[in-house]
Amino acid sequence: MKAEIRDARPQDLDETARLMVESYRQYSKDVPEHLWKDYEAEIADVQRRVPFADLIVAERAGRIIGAVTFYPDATLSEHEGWPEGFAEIRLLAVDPNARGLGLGRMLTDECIDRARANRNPTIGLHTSYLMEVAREMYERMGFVRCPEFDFQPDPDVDIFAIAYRLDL
Amino acid sequence: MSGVVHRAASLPKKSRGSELRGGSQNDSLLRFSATSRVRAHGRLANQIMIRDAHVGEVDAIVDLLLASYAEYAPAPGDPIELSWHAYRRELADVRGRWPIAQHLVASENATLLGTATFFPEAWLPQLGEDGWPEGYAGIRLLAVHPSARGKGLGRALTEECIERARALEREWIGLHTTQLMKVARGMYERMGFERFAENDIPIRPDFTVVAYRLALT
Repeated sequence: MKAEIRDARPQDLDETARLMVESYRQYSKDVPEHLWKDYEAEIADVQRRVPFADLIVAERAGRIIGAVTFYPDATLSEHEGWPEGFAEIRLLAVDPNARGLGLGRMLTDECIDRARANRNPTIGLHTSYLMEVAREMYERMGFVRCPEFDFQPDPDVDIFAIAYRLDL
Repeated sequence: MSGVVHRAASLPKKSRGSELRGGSQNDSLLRFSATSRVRAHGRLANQIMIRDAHVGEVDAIVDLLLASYAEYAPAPGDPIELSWHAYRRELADVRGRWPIAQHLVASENATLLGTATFFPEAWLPQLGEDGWPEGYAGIRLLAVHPSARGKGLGRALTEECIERARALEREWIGLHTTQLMKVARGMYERMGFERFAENDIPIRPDFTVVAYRLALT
């Protein structure tokens, strides 16, 4: 059964927040506890993002199995430093039990389509060296590194958010 | 009217995106973007904006609807009380309407002052007895908070619905109201809406939900 890619509805928000936290939990062991706790709280805070972003979900058989957050105006995201005109992809998440089906790619393609329709010249995203599968997918899709937008969430911890861009 | 900004009127009204990925015709019509909302939040503080609600605002819309319609509550013991309770439950079902409607709000900063529910496809069976024939768009649940009346917000919300219906090339836009809602009725008539008794909903001998429509072509 094919997944449907659509905008989240009000009744989906809690389920989507849970899915996103579950999808990122595999990284909890790779980062110091305080950083994971902060990140987990931020991931779960869907309400804070929805005024400024499209929350897009993948639904199959009545369940949310994937999600992504699309900012038509990246200057309004929590990630500071994107230039005017950029769109941004954030928090791509696929249920650990639904990986390998192309959902991450479908959700990313949906963001690219929306950025094109919105006439953004560029769409950007951050990932990390921990997220190897995602990083390889972005590179296959044509995203290129733009280290000028990298940042380090905690100066005492050697983990970086690394930036990619795709010119549209 | 002054002081009210319709969200990004220059943006394409029609949806965009992923008809290719299995979205139905309905989905494509109902899809809307954060683009207009972010402009509302980010760029136009201290102005009243007419814009799409976002999914996080459902509870605020429910509160606003209940506060705005409270004046129509019947006196205790009035035989219409039961249908009033049913109506309140229906008012509050914003989640149920979400997939088939566009929820418009008038907001000042983050505060919601008014709302209207726009149905791009008012003939869908989910509209029940509020439904319209094919080719109609519909307006439901126009509400302005009692503290924000007299500023033209009801009219601005209604105009936004009309504009969206025109952009979709609908032939008609329809709405229901009652004899209790005198201000709204007067406004609809001044805006060119005409009675369309075929779509009236009789509730009881002395109370009818009356239908109006506006030709768009």
